[in-house]
Amino acid sequence: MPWPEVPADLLQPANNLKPLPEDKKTLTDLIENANENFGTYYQIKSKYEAWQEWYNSQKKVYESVK
Amino acid sequence: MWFLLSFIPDWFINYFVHIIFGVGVVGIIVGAFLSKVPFVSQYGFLIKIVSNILFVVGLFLEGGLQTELAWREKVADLQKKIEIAQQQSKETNAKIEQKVAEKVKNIKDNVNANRQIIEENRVVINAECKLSDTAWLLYNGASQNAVAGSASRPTATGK
Repeated sequence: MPWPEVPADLLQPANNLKPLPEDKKTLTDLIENANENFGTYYQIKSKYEAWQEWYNSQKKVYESVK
Repeated sequence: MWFLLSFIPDWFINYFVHIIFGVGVVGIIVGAFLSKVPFVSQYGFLIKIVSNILFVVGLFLEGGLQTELAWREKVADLQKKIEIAQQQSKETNAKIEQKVAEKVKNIKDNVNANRQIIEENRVVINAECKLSDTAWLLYNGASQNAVAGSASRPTATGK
């Protein structure tokens, strides 16, 4: 049985968290930066969960062939 | 040599083997009958020998044929299963892709909504607070998974 395909989205490299630029030192800058970084975290989390789902579902499909 | 059999259609092999076996069986009966008939009994003996050979070869081929057909059936079953599995795999991938796309969209929407609220409250939020250099360094150290130096001598060492 050929190796199963992986959704293209899951093969994209994970984004890094962004540091706070040196000229941005107000509280709103920090919250904005945190907001963006949390967004990045949740995107990576959703892809991580998708990888788990992909593995479990493909395993089930593979085992049904045996 | 045997792999060549896989190129021959099932029905042809089936007929071929059944005919050899059938001719062998009929030949044995005919041979037994003819060997008792005067004048042709010498042919009956010959037919008996040839028929016995055909019978044995036919029997062997029947066994081989059943094995061959059983394997072909197994291969066909497995191929069908693989096709179904490939289809299921594709459907699963499509579902996962859709789910990820929806989640990412929701996350981006939430980030944008929060950004807008922060922007609306910029003045109020910044009115009583400004980040010190140390706080800035510590924050960046944490977000980059690097250790910032001590509060008195902060040095971010992230990559």
